[in-house]
Amino acid sequence: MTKPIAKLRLEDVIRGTESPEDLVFLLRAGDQDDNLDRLQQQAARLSRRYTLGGVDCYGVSAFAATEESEPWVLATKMDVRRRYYRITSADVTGLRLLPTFAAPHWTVMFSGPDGLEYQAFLDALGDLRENPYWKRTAGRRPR
Amino acid sequence: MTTQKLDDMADYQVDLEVDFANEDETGYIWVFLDEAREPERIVPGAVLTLREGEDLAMGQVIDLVPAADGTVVHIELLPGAIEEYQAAIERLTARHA
Repeated sequence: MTKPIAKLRLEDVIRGTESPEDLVFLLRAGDQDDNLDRLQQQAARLSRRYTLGGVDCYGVSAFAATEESEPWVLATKMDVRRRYYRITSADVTGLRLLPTFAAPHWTVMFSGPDGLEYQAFLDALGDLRENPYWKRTAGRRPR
Repeated sequence: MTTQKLDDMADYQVDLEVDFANEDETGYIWVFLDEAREPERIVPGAVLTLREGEDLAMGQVIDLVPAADGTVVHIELLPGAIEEYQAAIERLTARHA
C-alpha cells in the first residue's frame, strides 16, 4: 500500500529574517471582472500543497524589489505581464508577507479561503502600471 | 499577427490557467494537474499555452510530482511572446507551400 504524501511545511521554505519594509511588491494584474475569484482560487492552491503552523495556509505569490532591483525584476520575473501592480507593505497592513522559496519570491498570506481581506487586498493594489519590459516590447533588458 | 487577432486571443481556451509568479523551491511555476483543461496532454516536455488574466505565454512541462492532494506540474516559461511562435510557424508553412 502506498504511503500517503503529507503536505509540505511552508516554514521550511521561508528565507531567514528578510523584512518587507523598504521593499516594493510587484504583483499580478489582469481582468478586473474575475479578480476576486481568481485571487481566492490562487490562494487556495497553496493550501492544497502547504501548511503553516500545522494548518492549511492560503496565499498568493508576489515578487519583491528594491528601488534599484525593480527594473531587473520586471524584466526577468515579470516580463510575461503587460501590466502590474506595485504596492508596499504599508498598503496591506494586516496581511502577512513572507519571503518564501528563492528571492525575489514572497507570499502574501490570507487567514482563510475567503473573507473581507481578499477584497481589501484588491482594493489596496492601486493603479495598474505598464510594464516597460513586457516581452512584446522590443529592446534590451536589464540582466 | 494583427492587433485584432491578439485581442481575440483573450477569448481562447488555453491549456492551463496559471499564476505566473507561483514558484516553488524548484524555481519553476507550478499548478495542479487537475487544473489542466486536458490533463492527458500534460506530460514532461509538452509545450503548452498558458494564461493568467490578460497575459498569455508559452510554457514547457518540466515534470509531474505526486503531492498530498494531487499531482503538481512544474512548468518553465518559454522566452518570447506567444504570437511570435505562431508567426514563425506560419512563415515556415508558407515557405513550404
